[in-house]
Amino acid sequence: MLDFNQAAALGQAIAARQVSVREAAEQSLKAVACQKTKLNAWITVDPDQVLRQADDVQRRIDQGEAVSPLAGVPVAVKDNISTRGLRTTCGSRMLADYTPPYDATVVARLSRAGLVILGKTNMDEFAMGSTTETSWFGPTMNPWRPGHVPGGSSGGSAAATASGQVLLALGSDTGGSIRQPCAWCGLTGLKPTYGTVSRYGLIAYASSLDQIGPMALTAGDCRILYEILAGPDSRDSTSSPDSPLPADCKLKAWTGGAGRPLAGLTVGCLDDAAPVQPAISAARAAAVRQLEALGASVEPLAMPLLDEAVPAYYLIATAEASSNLARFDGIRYGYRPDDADVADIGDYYARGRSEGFGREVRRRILLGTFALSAGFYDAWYLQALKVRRLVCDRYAEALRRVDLILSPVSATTAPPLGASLADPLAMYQSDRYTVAANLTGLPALALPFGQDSQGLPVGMQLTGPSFSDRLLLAAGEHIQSAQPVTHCAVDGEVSA
Amino acid sequence: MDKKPDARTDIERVAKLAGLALDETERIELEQEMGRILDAFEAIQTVDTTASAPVYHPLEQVNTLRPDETQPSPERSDLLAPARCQKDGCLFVPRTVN
Repeated sequence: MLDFNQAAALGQAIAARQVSVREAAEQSLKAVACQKTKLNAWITVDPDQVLRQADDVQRRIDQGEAVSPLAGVPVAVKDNISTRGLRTTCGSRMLADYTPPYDATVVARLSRAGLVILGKTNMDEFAMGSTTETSWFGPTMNPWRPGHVPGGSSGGSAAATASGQVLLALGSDTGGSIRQPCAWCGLTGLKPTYGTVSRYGLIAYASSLDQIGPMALTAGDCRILYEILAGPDSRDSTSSPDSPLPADCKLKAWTGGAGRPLAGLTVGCLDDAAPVQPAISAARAAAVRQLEALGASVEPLAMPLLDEAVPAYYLIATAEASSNLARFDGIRYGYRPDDADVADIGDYYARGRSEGFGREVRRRILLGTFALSAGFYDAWYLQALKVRRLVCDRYAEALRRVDLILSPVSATTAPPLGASLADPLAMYQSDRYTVAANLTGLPALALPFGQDSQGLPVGMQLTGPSFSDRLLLAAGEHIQSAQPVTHCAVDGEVSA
Repeated sequence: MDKKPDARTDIERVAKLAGLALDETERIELEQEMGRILDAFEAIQTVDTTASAPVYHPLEQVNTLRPDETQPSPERSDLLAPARCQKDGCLFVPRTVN
C-alpha cells in the first residue's frame, strides 16, 4: 500500500506530511474494491465514512493534537467488534442488519489514537470455525492461493492484511482465531494475555477464552498496535488492573541486548510425536536454528495433555457459547422470523434461532447445551474444567523451566476450500496447538516461518508466561530482524 | 454415569433446551455428528482429575469494579435504533401470550 509494507513507516510518512491521511485511505479503498470479488475479505466498507474519518484525523494532526505513531493508518476490524454506526454482523444472518449504538473499547482507543477504521472484515459466523467458510456472507479466500482458505475465524482480517489492502487489523482469538489465520497467511499475530485487552463491545463467543489482539506483517507493528489496545477498562470487569510479570518470572531479567539479543533466554521446543506436514517440521527446525543464532538456548520440551486439551476446550467453549448466544431471540434486535403462524413464544424463538444461525453455530450450541444439561454436566463440562486445571498446571510448570515455548501453530498449511467443513471433528482437532493458550490465558505469538512446496505460508508460535506480551513481541522483532517482510499480491506474486 | 445423548430422544431434548428447531434431515445428521464428536471427546474421561479443582476462568482476580460515580447514559433513541420494531419510544415485540 503506497509502497509501504509496515504500518509504522506509513505512520511516520503521514506525520512528516509526505503522505496525507486521505491518500492513505483512498489507496486502501482502491485495493479493497479491486480485490473484493477475488478474496471476499470484507463484510462492510463505507467509503464516505472512511473519508470523513480520514479528514478528521488529518485535521487533528494539522492542529498538532497528540495522536499516536499510527495516526492516519487504515486498520481493518473483525466484524464481531462493535462499531458505532457501522454494521456489525458477526458473519451471521442473525445480525445481518445490526448496527451497534456504541463502540467497543478497542475501537474507541483506535479512534482516539487516530487510526482510520476502514471497515469490518469477514469471519466465521460468531467466530465458530477455523477457515472463514461458515460466514453468512460467503467464504474468504487465501490471497497466497485463492483456492485455499485463509484460516479462521479472523480470516477476513488476515486476507485483507496479507494482500496489502491494509497493514494492520484487529482479530479475536478464542481457540487460535488470530494465530492460525496469521500462520496460514504469512502474518504476525498476538493472542494477548487474557485480561490485558478489553473485551467490552466484543460480541462474545466464549467469555473465559475470548481475547482481541493485533494482526500485522511484523511483530513491530503488532507491538505498536498492542500498546494502543492494551490497558485496564472500567467497562470490562475481567480486564486486568495492571500487567505485572510474576515476581518469579525469569523473563523479567531479559533485556534483549544487541548482537545476540536472545542470549539468556531458554526456549522449550515442543517435543511432540503428533504428525505434521514436512513444511511444518522444516519450519520448526529453521526456527530452532534462528533462535540459537540469536543467542537463545533451545531444549526439547514435552507437554502432556495436548490431545485432551482439544475436547476440554470445545466442551468449555461451546458451553459458554450456548449461554452467550441465548440472548439472540429475535425480540429486541437481530433476525426476526415471520410470526404469522407460530404456536407460542417457544416456537417463535426456535424458528428465529434456527433460521438466523448457520449450521456450525447450531451444532456448537447443541454440543454446549448438552454438556451443561442435567445428567451430563459432571461427566462432560465439569470434567473439562478439571482438565483445564491440569493444562494450566502443566504450562505453569513448563514455564518455570523455560522462558518461552516454541511450537507449530498448526500441523498443516492452509487446506483447499471445502476440505475442512466436510469433517467438523477433524477441523476441531486441527486446533491442537492453539487452544492451550486460551485455556490457560497465556499470551502466544504467531510468526511466519517460510512456505511449503505450494508457496503457502507456515507459522510458528511462541508462548510465554502471563503478562509477557511485550517481551514476546520484542523477541518476535529480534527474530524478524533477519527476515524480509513479505506480503502477497492478490495475483499470487510475492513482494518483499 | 451417563455420557452420551441417547440418539433421537436426547437430540430432541437438547434442541428444545437450546431453543432450536431441527427438521428431520438435520436431526439425523446432527445426531450422527454429535455421536462422532462425543466418541472422540471421551478422551477426557480417562484423565485422572480427582485432585483437580475446576477452572472456570483464567484470572483469579475478583470483583474488579469501577469507581461508583455517575456516568452518562446512552441516548434512548440510540438504544432503540437497532430494534426491528419500535412504537412510542418502546420496543414493539411479537405477541408472547396467546
